[in-house]
Amino acid sequence: MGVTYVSQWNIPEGKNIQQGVEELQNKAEKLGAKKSGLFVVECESFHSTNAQNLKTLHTIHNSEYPASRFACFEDGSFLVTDVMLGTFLSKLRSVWQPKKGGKIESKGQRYEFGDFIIKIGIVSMGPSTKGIALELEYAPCRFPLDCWELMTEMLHELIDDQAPASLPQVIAQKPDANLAELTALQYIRLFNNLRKASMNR
Amino acid sequence: MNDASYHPLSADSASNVNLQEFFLQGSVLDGSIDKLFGRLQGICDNVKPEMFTDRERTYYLSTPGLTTSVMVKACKSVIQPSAPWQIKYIGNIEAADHTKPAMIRSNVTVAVSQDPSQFLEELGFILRYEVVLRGQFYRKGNLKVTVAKLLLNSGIAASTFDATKLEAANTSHLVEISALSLMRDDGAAEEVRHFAQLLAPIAMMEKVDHRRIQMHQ
Repeated sequence: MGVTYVSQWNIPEGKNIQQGVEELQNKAEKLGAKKSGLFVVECESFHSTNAQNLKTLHTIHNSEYPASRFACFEDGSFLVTDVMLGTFLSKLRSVWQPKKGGKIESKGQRYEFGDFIIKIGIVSMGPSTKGIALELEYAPCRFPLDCWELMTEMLHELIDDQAPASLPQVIAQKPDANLAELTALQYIRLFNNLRKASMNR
Repeated sequence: MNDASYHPLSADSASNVNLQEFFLQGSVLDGSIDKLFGRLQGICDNVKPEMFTDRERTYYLSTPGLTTSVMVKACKSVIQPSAPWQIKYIGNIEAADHTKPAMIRSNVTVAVSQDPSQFLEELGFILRYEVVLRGQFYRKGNLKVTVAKLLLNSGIAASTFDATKLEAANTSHLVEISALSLMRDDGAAEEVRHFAQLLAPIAMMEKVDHRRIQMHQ
């Protein structure tokens, strides 16, 4: 469990999602990364039937943490729970209902390259695909501020022109937070952006 | 909990088993508690009974349009600080089923990483009361028997918990026999009732009409 960076990867002009994924996978393999299975990160959102409560609740299931589920209110509290969270929330169905549009997930190949873990996933909502998500994890370090430079170097190797210029806001705001929380928050932000983008089309 | 194999986490797949709880409740005066312990020692599994001291906070969420509220309890062990907080959804007791030998309600327990008060409040739950249950936990096969004393945090706000300033709410212990099972599988109800008969006349375990208790609130 280490510091992670999650972001959307913009597909080059003229290529479709499948070709984009292959391009990224080739880059990772050329660097020397080895395949190490599949990964999935799913997010389900809930909203309250009580009109006064406008908050959205997101629950994340990350295959990297199979025995946990993460619950996060937008701009609110974050909780790590065990797998019964889904059953618990279904008992509250009269007040908290799953949002229309349902589950959004990032699913794909997981690569290991020394101390780095690279995940290249296709983001989809039901049958329709929305984009590509890239996650880079530097496993040995638990402090984002300490290893950010190293991660930026790695990101330049992988995705050069789309590498971030500075620390993502999610991490900069709470650099001491639990690492699983930072990963979950980055995924939630990514999924929200993709949802908005597809609604605007 | 060292003797019983206690798993606060539910492994890596959500199992829909064990959502239905059959239970019976009763009480015994403090003076007769030793007789009860002696009898339980005799009829339960041959392990030392587990001592527990749990802080239990009860939250209610009122559902718009429905008269009943959703009840959730947040529990934390005081004597085992490494055991995580648990939030338990406690369903309403299935009403008026005179044929069933025990009371039935649904029960979903989720272990959480930290104090869930803020999370529950954002969900809309309101804290109703907090008690401390201190007692012993016995097992017999599937059945779980708890004999506990209700203690209250004397006169201070719920946020400041002082383990030394607890006082008893009454002069008796609460006895509860429960068994978790699959939905629609009623075999455990008979086991609960049969066990309850073994405790008579020290503790009379009966089906209680909780609606009458709720009316008095």
